[in-house]
This record gives sequence, C-alpha cells and structure tokens, in this order.
Amino acid sequence: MKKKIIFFLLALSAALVLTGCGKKQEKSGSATDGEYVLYYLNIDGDGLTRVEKKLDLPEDTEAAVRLILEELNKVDKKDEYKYTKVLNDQILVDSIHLIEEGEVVINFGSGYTQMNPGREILVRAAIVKSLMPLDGVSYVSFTIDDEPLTNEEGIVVDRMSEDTFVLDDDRSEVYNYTETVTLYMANKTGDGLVEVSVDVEANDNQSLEEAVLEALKENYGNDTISPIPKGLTFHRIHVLQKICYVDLSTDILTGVPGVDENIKVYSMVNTLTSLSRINQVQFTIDGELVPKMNDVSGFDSLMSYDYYYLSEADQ
Amino acid sequence: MNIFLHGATRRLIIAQDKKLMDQREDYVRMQNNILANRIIHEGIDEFSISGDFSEDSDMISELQLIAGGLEGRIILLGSNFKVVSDTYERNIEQYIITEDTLKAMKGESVRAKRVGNSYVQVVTGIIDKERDQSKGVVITLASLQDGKGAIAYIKNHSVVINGLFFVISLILGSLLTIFSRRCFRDILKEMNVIAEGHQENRLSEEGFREFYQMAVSFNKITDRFKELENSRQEFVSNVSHELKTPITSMKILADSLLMQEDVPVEIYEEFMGDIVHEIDRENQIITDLLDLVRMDKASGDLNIAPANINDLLEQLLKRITPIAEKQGITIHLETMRQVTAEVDVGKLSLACNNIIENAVKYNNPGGHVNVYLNADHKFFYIRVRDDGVGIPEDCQERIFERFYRVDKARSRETGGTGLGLAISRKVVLLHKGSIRVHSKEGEGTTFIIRIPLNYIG
Repeated sequence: MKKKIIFFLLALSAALVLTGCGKKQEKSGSATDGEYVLYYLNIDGDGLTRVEKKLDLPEDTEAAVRLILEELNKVDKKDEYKYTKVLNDQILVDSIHLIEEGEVVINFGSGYTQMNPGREILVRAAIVKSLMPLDGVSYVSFTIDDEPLTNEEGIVVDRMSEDTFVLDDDRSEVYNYTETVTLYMANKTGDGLVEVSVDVEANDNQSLEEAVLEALKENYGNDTISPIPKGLTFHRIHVLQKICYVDLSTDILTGVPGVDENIKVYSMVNTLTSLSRINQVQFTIDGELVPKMNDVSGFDSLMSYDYYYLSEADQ
Repeated sequence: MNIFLHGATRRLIIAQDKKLMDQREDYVRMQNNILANRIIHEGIDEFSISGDFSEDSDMISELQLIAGGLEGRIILLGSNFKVVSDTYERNIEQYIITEDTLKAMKGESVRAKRVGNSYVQVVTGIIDKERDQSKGVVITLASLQDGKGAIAYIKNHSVVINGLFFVISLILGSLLTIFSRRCFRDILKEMNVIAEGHQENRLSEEGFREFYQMAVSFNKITDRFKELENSRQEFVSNVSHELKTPITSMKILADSLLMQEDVPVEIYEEFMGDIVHEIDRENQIITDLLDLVRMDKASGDLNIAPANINDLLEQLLKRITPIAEKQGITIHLETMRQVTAEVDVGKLSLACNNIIENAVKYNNPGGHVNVYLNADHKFFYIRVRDDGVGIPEDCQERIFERFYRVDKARSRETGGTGLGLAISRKVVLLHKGSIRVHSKEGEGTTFIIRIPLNYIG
C-alpha cells in the first residue's frame, strides 16, 4: 500500500512539473558590457544594421559625439559585406555644438538635401539612435547650412529624442506604454471620490482605458477604498468620437462593502473622462443597455465627468 | 497516462490557439487591404490625427470603427515611417522603423506576429500600384478575444478533466491490482499443494496470458523433475540388475562346483577361469559407474591443458590395433593437420577409446575402422567410421543412454558394460562439444565428435 502511495505521489509531482513548463521569456538584448551600440545602414541601403563595437569614449560630450559620427563614416574592410556607412562625401558634418538641456545640434552641408527621402529617414534614425546612449545627450536636432531641417511638407523637424525612433531594438517597444493618470477612488466612508495620481502601465498593446479601469481594483494607501468589485470584467472597451463604450459583466451588480452605488459608477466615469481623448462614457451590461443599475438611474445614458461626487475635502 | 493526457490538453490548447490566430490573421489582412485602398483613394492625410484632439474627422472615425470591430488598434505610417494616425492616440509623432514596417513599405508580405496574449499584429503596405509608389504602412492589432472563450474553457476545465482522469486511473489501477493479486493467490494455492509433495498434480493452465504462461512453464519444470525422478529410479534398478548379473553367474558356477563330487582339476580350472572373468566384468562395471558418477558430480574438475590430439589418437590406436587385428579388423588413422587443443587428455582418451572399441566390437571379420582428425579455426573433429553391423534407426536416439544395448545377446558375448557411450557423451559435453551418430543397419556407423579448440569455462 505504501508503495502505491509513493508511486502516485511521484506521478502527481511529475505532472505538476510539466505544467510549470511555460513559454521561455525572451532575453533582452542590451549591449554586452564594454561595447557600444552603433547603427549603420544595411547593404541594400533600405534598412538599419545594429553593430556592437568597442569604443574609447572621451569624457567631453562634444568630443564623444564627434567620435561617434566619425565611426559612422567608416566601415572596416572585413565588415564591408555586412553593412554600409551612414555618412559619406555627400552627407558632410559641418559642425557640432551643444546647447542647453543636453541638446546636440548637428549642422550638415547642403549636400544633405540631395538624399532621397527614404534614405534620409534611415540616416536620421541611425545618427539619433547611435548618439542617444551618451550621457550628455538627451536631444538631437539637425540643421542644414545652419537652417533647421524641414521635412517633405516644409515643416520644421522637431528635436529628436530616444522615443522618436522605434526600432527592433528591445528597449524601445511600440506596444508598451506608461502614463501618469488621475484615478478616482472611493473615500473611507464610501460616499465620495478621492483623486489619486498614479503611473499606469498599459503593456502588450493593452488600451489605456482598460489599464486605468483595472487599476481601480488596486489599493492606494489607507485613505481610499477600491470602488469597484474585484470580479468585475470588462468585456469590451472602445473609444469612438470621444465616447468610451464600456461593456461590463454582471458583476457590476455586486455591491462593494462600504461604497455607495453611485460612487461605484462615477469612479469609473470620472477616471475615464479625465483622459484627454474621452469626454463621455456609456455602459452596457453583457451587451445590453440597462436603464437602472441597482440605485443608479440613467445607467444607459451618456455620462460625463461629475463634480458632485468629489469628496468634500478635495473641493 | 495522466502526464500524457496533460500534454495532450496542452497541445490541444496550443493548436486551437494557432488556428484561431490564423483565422484572425486572414480576416485582418483582408481588412487591411480594404483600408489601404481607401487610403490610396482619399489620401493618407485625411486620416491624420491633428494636434488638436477636439475634432475627429470622418476618416478617423472610420478607423476607430474598424479598430473597434477588431477589438484592437490601427496605426498608420506615412511613407517616411512616421505615425500619421493611431486609434490609441499614443505613439503620435513617432517613427516606427522595424523589420516588419521596412518590409511592408517595400510591398513585401510580412508574417503576422503575436503581441502579448491577446493580440495578433498584421502589417500591410499601402502601395499605389498605378503609380508604383509606397504611401505608407498599416499596422493592425486585432484581439484574439473571441476564441479565447473556447481556449479559456479548455484551460479552466483541463484542470477538471485532468483531475477526473486522475481519479479514474486511480480506480482502474486499484481494480487491476486487486484482480492480479487474486489470480496470483489462486496459482499460489495450487503451487503449495504440489510443493507439499503431491507431485502428480499440475497447475490448471487457464486465465490471462501471463498467468497461463506461468502455469505452463511451471508444469514443464515439474514434468522435467518427474522425468528425472523416473530416470533415476530406472538407473538404480538398471545398476542393481547389471551389478547382480555377474554375481549371479559367479554363484551358479560356484554352486555347481560345490554340488558335484569328484570333479577333476581341469573342470575346477575351467570354472575358476569363468568366475575370474565374471569378477573382472563386475569390476569394470563398477569402475565405469564410478567414472560416470564422478563426472556427473564434478563437472568443473576437468584437467584442462594444451594437448596434441594427433599424439593422443596415435597412442590410443597403438593399444587397440593389436586387439582389432586379432578379430581381423583393420584400423586406419588419417590426420589432416596437427591439432593442438585445450582438453583433459585422460578423459578425452577414454571417450575416444570407447567409441573406437565399439567400432571394432560391432564389426565383422575383414571389416575396417577409419579414424579421421581435422580442425578449423574454432573446433577439431574426430570421425570414427566402421563398416560393421550398424544401428537400427529407431535405436539411434537411445544409444547414449546408460546401460542401453541394441542387441543384448551380442553385447554379452563381446563384453562391455553398456556405459561406454554414456561416458563418451558425458566427456564430450564437459568439453562443451557435441557428438553425433549416423548409421545404417548392415552398412556401418559413423560417430563425429566436435570439440572447441579453446576450452570455454
């Protein structure tokens, strides 16, 4: 009998171990220590190539920038089949100077305008991305013959930063996003709303609206209570013409202990409408418009930000 | 089995997932193409989000509706990779220059990718085929929510399903064990009966395969033991009989001598000679028996040493040839090569001696005996052929049995104990060799001995 028990326990633990084998997390590929990441053009000139090189960088920012630009202007013979240089006789760097806030202004000769637009954007990306790792550099702007760079439509190109160009480099991700938002939590007595400023993360292309509503389920300090039921599911959240349509599960009908029904509803409305692109909110429950939800009437109407429910202490 | 099932549910989930993604991808690609055509027709600027977010143009609403339908997001890039429109209004003014967007801008097809758990990304170029120009790129992220239901169901219930199967296999396992143990117990009961001494009993050969085979093998073992027991009893009775025969003869001779009065000395001499003859015979039987028994007991007590087989046979024939000539039989030795092998010289000589003596004994005057020695790289072969009386086919199997004689009458004349071939066979087997006989009645007999050159312990 004992043997049987041991055997079954072994089988069970083996099964459990196998469940644990999930997807392996991708390793982030930042530069190996001591090496600097530069971006060159690929052989066909229609893409970028990431290259890691050992560089001896001077302390002085301007000198470092010059060094990097020099590197971008040459390719070792042995690497010629891998990538091509960014700068060349056409794209001559005329001068470099630093202005306040860590902004580097690079002045090019008039030959810059001769580049075709497709290549020009890649050159811009390569230079900016290659300079960003430097400590003293936060912004890069280009001038041509001391005139600000303009794009095809003649509009001046703003100064460029780390976020301006999104490459396949894992540090810059299109679909991850963080924003500081105002959440409207319930006060301790559950009859008013309290503003809390929170950095909300919306990763893997989660919409900010969804991230914000989910954030209402958390706790933020001892002065506030979470105003919505933990089991509440948002089937769909969609913004159209500044109206946010939210389809809720029936869990909305569950009461949150110590929180008024109106507070429960308006915590969501105020939070959403304080986002810049939403003016009004409309709720449905499992796809249906519901005129009255518990004590709350007009639950099927377009709801706007309401000052009435703000906690007296804040008003 | 549970581990297998778990793996199977996982694979089912993954397969469902992939299928779901493929379906979505196809739908989204179609949507993207429609949108791309719209953009070429209206111009991409119509879809641009201006810095002022208070008014949304019709085109932007259109984008939002499509994105809403897909429960996802649409990003439009202009020909310079700059974000022109984004239904999430997040990445405005950004340039998205990735491998996917570069490929799409050139008009190449791009594989769909998964983003997180919930979205599939499909990237399509906006190519104006008439003017052969690339106007930009559509990046669409579509939700995989719809099918999530099915997958979530499987996932949630896989725990239950697995749990259920676990319980079922537990029950089945226990039932199987109980059943097996019952079968074993039945067999054990029958075995115990036999073990206690009821040797005539046999196990009932029935039940499931393994139990049936076990019963059959067990019965084979007991049968063999019975056979052994029988042959032992037979042997003992044979030995007693053989040992008694010379003694009986002696007794008859002695009695008859004593019974007569005034028997002349010549008669006494004759009878004493016969008695001595019988004593010799008895002695020989006992010696042979002892040899045989000794070989049975101590199979490992062979005195193995490298020996020249040619010499061994020559010695033998030196001794036998005179005896053979007296009976008018010629012996001929033929050796193909020098053979050196690891053997017990004494015992092997004895074995060959018995066979060659038989060849002489069971022969007619003027007959021949050929002894032939050869070897290959593994074995050496001794062949003894005679053109004597031969052995009937139905007796050939039994000639190696102890005390077996084909023709009892003839053997009594020629002497012998009936143990010769049994001894020879035993010796050959001890050397890990083999002995075979071919014979035709009236024509002659051939014995072939094969022994490994190197003794394998």
